Amino acid sequence: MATTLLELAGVWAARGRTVALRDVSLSVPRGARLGVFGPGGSGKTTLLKLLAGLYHPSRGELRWSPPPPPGGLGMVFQRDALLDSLSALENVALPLAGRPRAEIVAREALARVGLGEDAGAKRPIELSGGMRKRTGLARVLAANPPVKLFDEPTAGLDPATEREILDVLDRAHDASGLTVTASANPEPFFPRCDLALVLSAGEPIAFGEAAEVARRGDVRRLFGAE
Amino acid sequence: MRAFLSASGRLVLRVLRGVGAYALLAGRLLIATPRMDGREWLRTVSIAGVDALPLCLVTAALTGALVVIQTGFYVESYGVTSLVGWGAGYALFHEFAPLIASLALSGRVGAGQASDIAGLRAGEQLPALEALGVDIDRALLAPRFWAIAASVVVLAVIADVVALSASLLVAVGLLGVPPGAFLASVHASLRVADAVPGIVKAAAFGLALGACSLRAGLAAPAEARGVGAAARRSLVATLTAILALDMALTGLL
Ligand SMILES: Nc1ncnc2c1ncn2[C@@H]1O[C@H](COP(=O)(O)OP(=O)(O)OP(=O)(O)O)[C@@H](O)[C@H]1O
Ligand SMILES: [Mg+2]
Repeated sequence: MATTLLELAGVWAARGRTVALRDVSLSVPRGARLGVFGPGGSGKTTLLKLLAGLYHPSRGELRWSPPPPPGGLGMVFQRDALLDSLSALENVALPLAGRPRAEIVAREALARVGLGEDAGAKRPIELSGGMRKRTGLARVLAANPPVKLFDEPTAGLDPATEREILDVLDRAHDASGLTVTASANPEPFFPRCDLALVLSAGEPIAFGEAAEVARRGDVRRLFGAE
Repeated sequence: MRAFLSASGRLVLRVLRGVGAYALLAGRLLIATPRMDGREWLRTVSIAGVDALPLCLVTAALTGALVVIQTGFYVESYGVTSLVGWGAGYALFHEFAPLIASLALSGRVGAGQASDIAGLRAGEQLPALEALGVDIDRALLAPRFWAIAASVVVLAVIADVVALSASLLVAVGLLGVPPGAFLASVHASLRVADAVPGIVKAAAFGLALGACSLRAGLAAPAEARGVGAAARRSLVATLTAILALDMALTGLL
């Protein structure tokens, strides 16, 4: 059994007047690929933002051992979260400022998600929704932090591009870190995760080996497979 | 009595919190300045300049003309045409040019920066960058702060030139002052050193404008309605700060 990297003990989270997470407990070993699945509004984004340190639990405890260093964690937001004043390439290069060959690394990352020179030179507002999503992914791939959080990484992509992106994300996984992927449509993600957490209205209804969770009747019903 | 005490206590706390917040922001900006992103600075200066220049030019020309028209009565009745150039130049350099430049920038650029920063927080661009370890101060805040401050100074100098030219045109065209006399009066009574207090004022207004607009953007609620709130707060804060600084500096300089 690998060492535990992340532990949540009875974590609750409030978003405004909504209780977005109720009593979530889980333990994730180093090197794991964790899927966080649930219908719209079930608390997936809230959980990822807690992991990113953007909010704090209203109750319970969230422990990293050890905590990721500055720049050791990267999140791809559901909304693309790019700066409109910069080109796509400059957006990807931004977290690399000061590193050698920043621009080459940024260009390579864009190429990995299928975006070429011409797309890289454009502003985010001049790109399609799917291209913006891929630029946001490239930004995290270029920075390559050991802990990667992906919120709906393939939403809005056509099926062929989705498969390519899933492969790229698989290869980007860091065996000494952690990859967490959130999606309301878990079908393509189950086989690519080690562990899965299923949320329903903020409540954790399943947590365990991804393959086992995927077979459970209540989980299949939640996502309309039966 | 207790109500009065608690109300004044709250007010003192609010003022202290405000001062603390600005001190914190100033500290962040100063620490980030040596390593700030030069391209972001240049980008902001060019946007700020293009945005505020037309308003600045028009107000500067009108103010230059008005200063001469207002003094025209005395000039004609006392025949002191030799003083028009000095009077216009002094008022414009010391008072009007820095005010014109900073007010033109506070409306378009200051409020714009405040709502832009608030929008970047609401749209999660800033949290996303921070989560990736990007130093927001170095990449965005410090360059924008210095760009705003520099723009005020540059626009104030441009306003000096434009307003004085407009004064000259009005003095010559309406009051019949010979152009040579106007220029001689400017030349004889205004030293280069007379431009310094105006530039110092412009720099002070610029720093205040930068700090107030960034702070308004950072303090607004990180959601869609925060964007408009940030713009309004920025306007109120900058106008208050600029006029207060103007009073203080006019006494000192
Ligand atoms: N800023 C906010 N203010 C108030 N409530 C919020 C806020 N953000 C989210 N919520 C609420 O918190 C709950 C969980 O939201 P969250 O965004 O975590 O869900 P999600 O699973 O990511 O949904 P989706 O699949 O639509 O992205 C929802 O009920 C939502 O209404
Ligand atoms: Mg979400």
